[in-house]
Amino acid sequence: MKARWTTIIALALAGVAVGWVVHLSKPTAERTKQTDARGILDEMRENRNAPSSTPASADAATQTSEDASPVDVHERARFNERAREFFAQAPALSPEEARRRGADLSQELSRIEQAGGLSAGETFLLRAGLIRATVADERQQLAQIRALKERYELDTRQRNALAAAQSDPMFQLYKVRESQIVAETLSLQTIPDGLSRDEYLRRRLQAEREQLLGEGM
Amino acid sequence: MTGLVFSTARTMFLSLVLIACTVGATPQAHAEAGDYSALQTIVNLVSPPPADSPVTPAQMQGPYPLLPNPSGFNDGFSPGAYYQWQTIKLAPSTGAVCGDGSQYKFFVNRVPNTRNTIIYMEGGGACWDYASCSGQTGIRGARNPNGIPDDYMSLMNPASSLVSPFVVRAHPWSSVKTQNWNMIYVPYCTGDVYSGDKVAVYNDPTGQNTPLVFHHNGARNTRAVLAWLKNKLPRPTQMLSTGCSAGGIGSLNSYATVRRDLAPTYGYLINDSGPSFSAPVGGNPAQYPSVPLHTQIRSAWGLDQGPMPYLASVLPAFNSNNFGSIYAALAAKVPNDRLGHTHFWQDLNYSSYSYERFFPEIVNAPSQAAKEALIHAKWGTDTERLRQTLQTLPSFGGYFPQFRALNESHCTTIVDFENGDIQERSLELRNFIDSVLDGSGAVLDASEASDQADRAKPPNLIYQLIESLL
Repeated sequence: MKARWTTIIALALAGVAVGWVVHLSKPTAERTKQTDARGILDEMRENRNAPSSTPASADAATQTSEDASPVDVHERARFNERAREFFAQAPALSPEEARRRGADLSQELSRIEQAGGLSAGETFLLRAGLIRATVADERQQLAQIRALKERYELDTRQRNALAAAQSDPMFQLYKVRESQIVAETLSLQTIPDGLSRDEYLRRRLQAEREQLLGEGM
Repeated sequence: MTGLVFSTARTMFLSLVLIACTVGATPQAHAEAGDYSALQTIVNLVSPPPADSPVTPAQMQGPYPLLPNPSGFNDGFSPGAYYQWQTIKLAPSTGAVCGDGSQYKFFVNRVPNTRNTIIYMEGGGACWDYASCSGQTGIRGARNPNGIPDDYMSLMNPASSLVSPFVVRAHPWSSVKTQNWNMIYVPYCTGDVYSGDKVAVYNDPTGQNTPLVFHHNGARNTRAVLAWLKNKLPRPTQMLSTGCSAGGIGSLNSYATVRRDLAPTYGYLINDSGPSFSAPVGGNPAQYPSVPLHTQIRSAWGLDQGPMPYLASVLPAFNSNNFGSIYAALAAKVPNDRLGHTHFWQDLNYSSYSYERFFPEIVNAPSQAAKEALIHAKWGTDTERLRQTLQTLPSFGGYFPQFRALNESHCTTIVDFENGDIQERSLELRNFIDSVLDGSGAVLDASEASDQADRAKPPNLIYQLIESLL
């Protein structure tokens, strides 16, 4: 009797576990396509040399989104723990041991970064920390961290260029209407509904955004 | 067959237990109020905990209502996507908008093992006229005047998580308990230290360009973020509201309402380098150097029309004719919360915003050194008054180190928690943060008299590199 209940509970837990996996496999609504990114990003890839210290590219992030590979909660939590341990223990480790453990962490960091589990700022700091902990010579440290920074900056420039190339026509329309509404409001002799001019302008623009941008953004 | 199913189920169950144990195994995660049990963490992995304190109809009325996204609006949130920076979009009907009129967004990084939550408000200057809000070269301005990209957290943005160990889960040098909490990253795009409520129309003084329309909408944005948090996440047991610079004063100005509406059991505030100095309306600038700045922003950001009267309605002891009264008012309103303020005596960033465009003697200073000396003197006057005020408030600590060779000594908690020491008292910044987040009794007050020991430190290579990003 007891064994049967155990089986039922285990099956129920297995069911919800499967449900959870399925749930996490669904793409989040945030994830969008950026198909025209390829050319620029190919060039960006060529400019990179060490994959283990390269920021996750815009393309990689998009691919991750499309593939919907979720961040593994266990892996992510374990990584935090291992990274903290490593940085605390690194000064006392032999250079070989520090390099070996640092390389392991770097690989894991890349995986998590590719899955969208870390911000660029976090990964930059972690990679800088790994360089500090595993490279003895200060000049080499500096050179490597400078190269790292430049790669992240390049990635940011590429992302910004992509974003700038993708203007939202509805937002452009809103900006046109915004100028018109501002001009109208400033020219009014009397402001309706007893409102101040500032409040009237705010409400007009708010209404315009709701109309033009309400659901589409 | 039954054996096979049972074996599979047992394996999956053990996997979930392993995850729960790992998630809960980090040293800082133990014995914290607000942490879920291992069993509950397992349940949360399967069924993410829903909101348990949603916005009420009454909260959707009146001044600065909590306006959630409309039903069916795709905000981008996936409740079970733990440990990921998720971009949360706010519909125009929430009242949220960036300075340029584009959609306001913020970022959530959720964990399954605790209800505790940090709200981190991004820093990034301020603006109050055409020159500063249009990003004119040579004028200190405000961050993100063109809005927030969806992939903001993937950008090498110095203002994003790079700048604070509070929101870096595995920081190489600095650890703090919020690294294990749910993280809310509130970006800054309104140039008004999260406090304004005015659509400004700035004319180009040269007449060459069309007027700049700038939405100083910080007050409403903060309310919209809060509405979302209430409707989508569990009520925090512990909550830290913090930020540096504009984010620091933003966390200070919004603390009373965030604390009231989110209703954490334990509330903490750390305002890093965003002081709201005493500056009575009509006060003498020689005595109160922040008077000209406050006069300017009251008008530019519409502070006297909506935001400050609203704050005064929430904080009875707040005198909206003197923004500096907020410290005592807040301490009186939430006497059991632990509140902290910190900045460097030698801060040359916030101080420059505060004075350099308002005092003719600074504008016309014969040299950069003379200009900086004048700015430091005014900052010293304002800081000393704030230090004395905080000393009288047991629940509101003030921590004032002298100098750090990073970012013009602006912000003590960015990049790492190092070099914010007060050597003459053998104190580290860490002691102050611990006092706020884990202390009992009066929150630590400390101030450093001399910057000699700070300036005698060897160069920090990491700081030098990061300096170029800031």
